[in-house]
Amino acid sequence: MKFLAVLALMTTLAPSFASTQFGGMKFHSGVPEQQASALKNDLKYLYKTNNIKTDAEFLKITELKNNKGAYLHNWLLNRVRYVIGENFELNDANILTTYYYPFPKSPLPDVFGAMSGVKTVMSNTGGMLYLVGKKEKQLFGIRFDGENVYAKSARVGILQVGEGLFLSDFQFNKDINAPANSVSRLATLFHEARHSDGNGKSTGFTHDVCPLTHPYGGYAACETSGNGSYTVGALAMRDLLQNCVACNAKEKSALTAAVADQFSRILDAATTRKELLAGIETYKNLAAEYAKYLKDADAELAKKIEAEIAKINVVVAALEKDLRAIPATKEGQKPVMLDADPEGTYKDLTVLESMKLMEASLK
Amino acid sequence: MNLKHRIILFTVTALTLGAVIYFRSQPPESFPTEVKTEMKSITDQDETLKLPGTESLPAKETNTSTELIISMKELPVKQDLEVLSDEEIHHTPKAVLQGGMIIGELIEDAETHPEKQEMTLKFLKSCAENEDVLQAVRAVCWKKTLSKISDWKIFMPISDAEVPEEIKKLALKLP
Repeated sequence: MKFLAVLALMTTLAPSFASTQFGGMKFHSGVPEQQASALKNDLKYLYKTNNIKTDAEFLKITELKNNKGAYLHNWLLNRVRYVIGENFELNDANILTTYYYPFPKSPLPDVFGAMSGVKTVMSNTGGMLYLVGKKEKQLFGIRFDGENVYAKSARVGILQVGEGLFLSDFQFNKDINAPANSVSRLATLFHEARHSDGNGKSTGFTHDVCPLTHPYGGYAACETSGNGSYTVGALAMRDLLQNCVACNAKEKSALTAAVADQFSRILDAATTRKELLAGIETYKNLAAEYAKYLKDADAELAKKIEAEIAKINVVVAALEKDLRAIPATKEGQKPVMLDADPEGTYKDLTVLESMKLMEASLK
Repeated sequence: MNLKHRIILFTVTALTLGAVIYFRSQPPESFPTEVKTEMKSITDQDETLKLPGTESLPAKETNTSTELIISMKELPVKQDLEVLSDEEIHHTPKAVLQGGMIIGELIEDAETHPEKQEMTLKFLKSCAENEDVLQAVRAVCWKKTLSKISDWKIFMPISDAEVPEEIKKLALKLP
């Protein structure tokens, strides 16, 4: 009788330690309610975003078929499936270990030759567990509110969300659920999601150390590839920002600065055709604006305006030259593209499957 | 405090406020008080020029320049990246976000107060040229310099701007 009472009590208490899920993403009971709620709101925001302005570069890098919210959500869900809180410790109580697991024979990323600083390199816990396991020849996993989750691939999708993602200093608006905050957090999710991709040396798309001349010189906060986490995060933020109709000018400017910061971490980033075309158009518009002065200007002023227009035309010519050079140098262009195909054992969800999960959560 | 004292205090306060309002409403001598009807010639000191028909508002440049000097001092500089949390190293430092917000605020202000647009444009160009300011923030400033010249119909030579190629290249990537 006493046993049954204890069992009943445990059953009653169980839900308070149970994970929650939204749109297929599972949130550990240790994730603070406010954080989980904000992330769920972000996923809803993403799912409901049917991008009007499409960015071909973003689609190319992520291999997405289109920019519709359902596809973006599916892309994320296949790379981030489990969310753990900042206080989740990878200790004996939470870590699962299995020996003799047949990992792929592929090489490890170079950065894993030296294990120090791994946390700085990557905060995607699933990718880290997989790579450490592969190096140590042990299969690691975590106890996720009663569910045993093994990292048989970086695609296991375990992400640890830090307080930093929600601190007021990093917020664009006092309302945690404001669209600008969602755009920023979603870009971080896309960045982290990319760490679930890759195989062999590209597994986890680990960061590279920034050169000393860089603003983040000496930190593993850059990338030499053209399709890594910073690229994906920057493109996602640029795309979401352009479609954020509810973001005000101040928020948009701050988000633009964040986009610039992310792009600045991609070493030798090539300028795309679209970017060059936009640049050419901007300078041509300027020259056209300045030309309007000529009819009212005196001789001296007209001379100065004409000189300025001539200099702008030189800039336009240089950009047009860069544009013409793109097809010819495409193959040898820096930075290199890493192989994003994942390795190990994992199961992708189809767009239809992830849509069903989201629709069930939205009911 | 008796009634007499209160009346004296009220009178003094009213006179002081009146004087402040009067003097603040008087434009400073160093700036033009009339609407400009002729095109200004471009000099090294004043490199901006409004398109004809867009200069209907008198400039209140003293207040604007003070605000902009303060804003320039608030812009994040390289030293702000010397001490960073793990979160800031991995993602975007708050100094960068704050820099973006300052620029956004100034532009928003200039949109609603057209008399501030000339000075704001100069500020944006100076920000893009400033070697101490963070790279990402300089790129935003350059991007906005180019776009706001057309939006606000102000002539300001930009071909002489001392903005490094890497900043210009980064600005091309911004929305």
